[in-house]
Amino acid sequence: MEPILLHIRKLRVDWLMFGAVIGLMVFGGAFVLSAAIDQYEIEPLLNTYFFRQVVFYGVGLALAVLFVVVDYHRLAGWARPAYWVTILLLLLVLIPGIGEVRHGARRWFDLGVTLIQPSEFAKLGFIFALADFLTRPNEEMLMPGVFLKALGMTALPFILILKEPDLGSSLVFFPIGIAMMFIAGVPLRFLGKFLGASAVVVLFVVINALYFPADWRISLQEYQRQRLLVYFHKDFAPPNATPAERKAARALQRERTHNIRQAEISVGSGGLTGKGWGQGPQTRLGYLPRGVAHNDFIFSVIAEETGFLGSMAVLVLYTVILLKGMQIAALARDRLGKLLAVGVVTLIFCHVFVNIGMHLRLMPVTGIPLPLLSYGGSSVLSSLIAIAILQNIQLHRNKY
Amino acid sequence: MTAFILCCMLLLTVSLWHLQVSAGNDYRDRQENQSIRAVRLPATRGRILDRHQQPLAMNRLRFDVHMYIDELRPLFYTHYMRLKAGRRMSRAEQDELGRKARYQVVSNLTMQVSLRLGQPLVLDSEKFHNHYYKRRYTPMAVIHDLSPTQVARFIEQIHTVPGVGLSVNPVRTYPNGDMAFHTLGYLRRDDDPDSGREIPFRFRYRLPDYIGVDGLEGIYDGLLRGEAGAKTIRVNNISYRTSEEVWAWPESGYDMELSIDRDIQLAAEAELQANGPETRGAVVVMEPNTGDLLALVSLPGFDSNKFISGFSHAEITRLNDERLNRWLNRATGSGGVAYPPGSIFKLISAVAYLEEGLIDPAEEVYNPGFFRDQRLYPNYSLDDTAPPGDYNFIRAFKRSSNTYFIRHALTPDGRTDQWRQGKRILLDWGNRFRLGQKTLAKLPGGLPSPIRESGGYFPARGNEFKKKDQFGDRIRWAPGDVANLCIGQGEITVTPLQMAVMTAAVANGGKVLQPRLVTRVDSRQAFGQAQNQVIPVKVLDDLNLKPETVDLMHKAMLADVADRDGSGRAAWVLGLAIGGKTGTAQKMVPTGKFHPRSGVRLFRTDHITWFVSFAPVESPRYVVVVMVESGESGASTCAPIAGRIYRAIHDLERQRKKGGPRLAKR
Repeated sequence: MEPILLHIRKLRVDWLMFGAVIGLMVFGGAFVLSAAIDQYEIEPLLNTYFFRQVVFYGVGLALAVLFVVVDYHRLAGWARPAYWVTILLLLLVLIPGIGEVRHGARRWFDLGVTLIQPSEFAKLGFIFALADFLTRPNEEMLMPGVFLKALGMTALPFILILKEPDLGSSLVFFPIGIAMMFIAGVPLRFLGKFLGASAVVVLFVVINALYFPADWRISLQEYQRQRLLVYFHKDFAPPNATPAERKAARALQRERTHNIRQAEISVGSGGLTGKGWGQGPQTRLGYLPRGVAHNDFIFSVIAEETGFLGSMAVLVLYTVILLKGMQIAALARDRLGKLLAVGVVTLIFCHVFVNIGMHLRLMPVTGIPLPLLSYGGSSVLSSLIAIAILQNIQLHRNKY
Repeated sequence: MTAFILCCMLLLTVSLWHLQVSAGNDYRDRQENQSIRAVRLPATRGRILDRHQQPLAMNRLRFDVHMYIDELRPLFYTHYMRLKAGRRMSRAEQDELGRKARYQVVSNLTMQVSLRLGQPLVLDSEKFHNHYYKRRYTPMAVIHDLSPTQVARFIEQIHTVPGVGLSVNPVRTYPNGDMAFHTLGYLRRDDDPDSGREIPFRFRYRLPDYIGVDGLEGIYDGLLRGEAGAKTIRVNNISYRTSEEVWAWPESGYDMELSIDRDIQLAAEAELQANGPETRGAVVVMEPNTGDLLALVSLPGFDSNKFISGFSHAEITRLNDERLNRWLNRATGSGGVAYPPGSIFKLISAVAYLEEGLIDPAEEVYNPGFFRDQRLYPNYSLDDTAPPGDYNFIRAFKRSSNTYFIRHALTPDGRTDQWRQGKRILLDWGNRFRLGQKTLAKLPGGLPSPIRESGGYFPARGNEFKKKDQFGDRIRWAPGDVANLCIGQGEITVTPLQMAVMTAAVANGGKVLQPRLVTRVDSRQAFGQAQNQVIPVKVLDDLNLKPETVDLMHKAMLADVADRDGSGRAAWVLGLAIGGKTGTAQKMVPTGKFHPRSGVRLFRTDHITWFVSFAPVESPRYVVVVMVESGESGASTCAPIAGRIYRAIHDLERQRKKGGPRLAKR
């Protein structure tokens, strides 16, 4: 342990990235508070989102220190058990009575003080396990068996999380897996075939959901289909609907598009400089639904109240973390470090792009949180651990 | 991969720029549209005052009890939780329960208000839910128009009831009820969302406002009404009010001062009404030197207040009684009504003959009880109402001898056929008195005429053909038509207002005045602007009558009332020298039936009875014109009414000299 602490004293931690993380946490704390400012009047302090988020930040930072100081090689030694433990948790969460249902999905364990979403930690476990698995000589990468195994490792949590159901979170596994395999040197023809095949599947699923009559539809949950309809600006009513059905479908459509429409109005009405902290009518008056304003839609609050400048600040902070992460990946001393770093960067990037893209209607609505900004213990902890791993790789770069 | 990340971040940046900066204003509008409700605030209407500043139309404060639904939310919630009692429910059941809970809470509060005010109240569930779903950001009215006792009770007790408040609004009121209904007009609820000041929000809700429809309220609505203001209410996602901001305060309307004297108007109405409950008629009281209308009465009228407070079923029937036709302003002939003047036209005939030198007032003409001239006019004859005998001018005038006047129209020298000359003279003088024309044109300052009137009908000078008859045929004038015209029958219809102008001209020595109803329009006094618009006295025409003519006319008219055998004797008042002339015109009224064989429309004869007068004869201050439809005769129906009006005015003058309490000028 001693030499590592000495290293810290020699400023081997990446302070720019650390600063960006602190900046995002300040944003997160400030706007989680703003999103639910009325809570102060009703709830005791301990129950407010703001207080809990600050506690999560504290616990997360403490965990992060742990994940920074312990050499990632030693951590990787635990990769396989960690992966299987998270798989086990994903299995457990599906069992009624153990997993908690919220908004129609069984994604959480109730620990009494807080809810835990195992899929967030499964992503980290998966990154470790895949990095560990792919840390092997280049020649082995050419073997289809390795590729298929890697694919299997990706598909297993994907299927379990899909079952919760949580399509958005589950789909994140594929970009992470593909990026890591690509960096590890899996031949492009394997990846190309896989990508081609999955593109066909995705295309089929989307077309199936959008255009096929009800009897012919497969695979998607109704709410997922509706989100796709919203994303592609499709009419909810089938073309041969009766007026009554059409009316009901319209009403449903209004209800389903409400969140994203209000998010769009929030972001758009922020203008260049925003309306000031705690001043956004969209948030204050509850047009942005209170159930999601502090977590999945926290970016709306930030964009409304700080405008384009504030939103850009958030984007710049994320870009700093991502680019620093890529630099760390490039300078990592070995394959394991490189793969871990790429995995983590891809994870953060996917979350940031999908979540912010959702506000700008570039992406369909999913329940993917914005790392470090969205309220939520699992998300905050796993994000801080992920960034700690990047720092870890940086810190232990020149050990030998 | 770094490049890919940078590209994606750039994409997000560009999208953000597009959404927040390029299209930012659109989204801000959408945001405001969904969170801001504009409420129109009506202005206080200007008052209408009489010449002594007594209010004819004013605003009183109306106290309404309102319930502020947004303040009741905690009650809704606790009651809902109590009803729910921890049961699991589907979404639809929850909605239904919420509805029920809200209704019960508000109904319960209404009950408490009802108990404290001592007035039974039931909350209409349909009305409540409607209000709740559409306008929950505005308070809901529970009771309108509290009595003073109820206001006192409310203020004392109601603070124990949550979410209930008293709101005070100005409401138009006419303190004298149905007085001067046609002159003042009435209001109706105005729900046109676009009227009023330009406000950059669509009005989602209008507070009750009224628009003037008829009479002064209608004609000068723009001046009286003022400028509506607006406030914006910020609402949250479930439409509860969160804050309010007054965007523009309403500006109250202009006050208006009339020439009407409230007391004379009231007296005139009472005296005309005294003729009978179904009297259809009009009274015009005018100041003969200025043209100021002191009273403008048309009966039957209606209570203008009812148009605001609402009608009962019986009142609607009464209002729309076709036989009485309350909508007509009989004094000014709004809606195109006008009446044959009958013998009161002899004022003009007499002035014309005297001015043209056709008659020697002292010459006595024998009246055999009818007019007939076998040699000159073999086709014409007319019975006279005046008894046979010798008539000079004054006797002929006061007994209203038709023979005397027809003789001078057709054959003034008694020997030759001169009806064309008679026609020229009558048409000339009728037009000089401005018959056939409206008495009021546009006022200075671009104000429209304050009354809706008809001009009646009078042939133009040189007119060759008579008015079209019911078959649409035009017929040339005949001697008989001239004879009829000179006694006010046939080719002539007039309004009481025109007759007042005519009488005033005779009284004041030949000045044809423009009547004045509005004397002053105040600018907003609160701002101290000295822009009061005063409507000046206007002489339209000076006939330059010879003093002898005027003197003789005054004498003749005085004799009509003062002499025991004068036709207007019933108007006589002790201590007041009144000059008058009675008239009874025959009018053919369709009976609504048709001849069984020929199919020709059937008519019956109806009488339009008149009395025109002025007083005192030595220095005229009042012109009183009385007209009653279907009266018996001018002498027996109208002259007594005029007499009573003069008596009332006379009493009033004496009282005012003493400075009685009701006349105290402000």
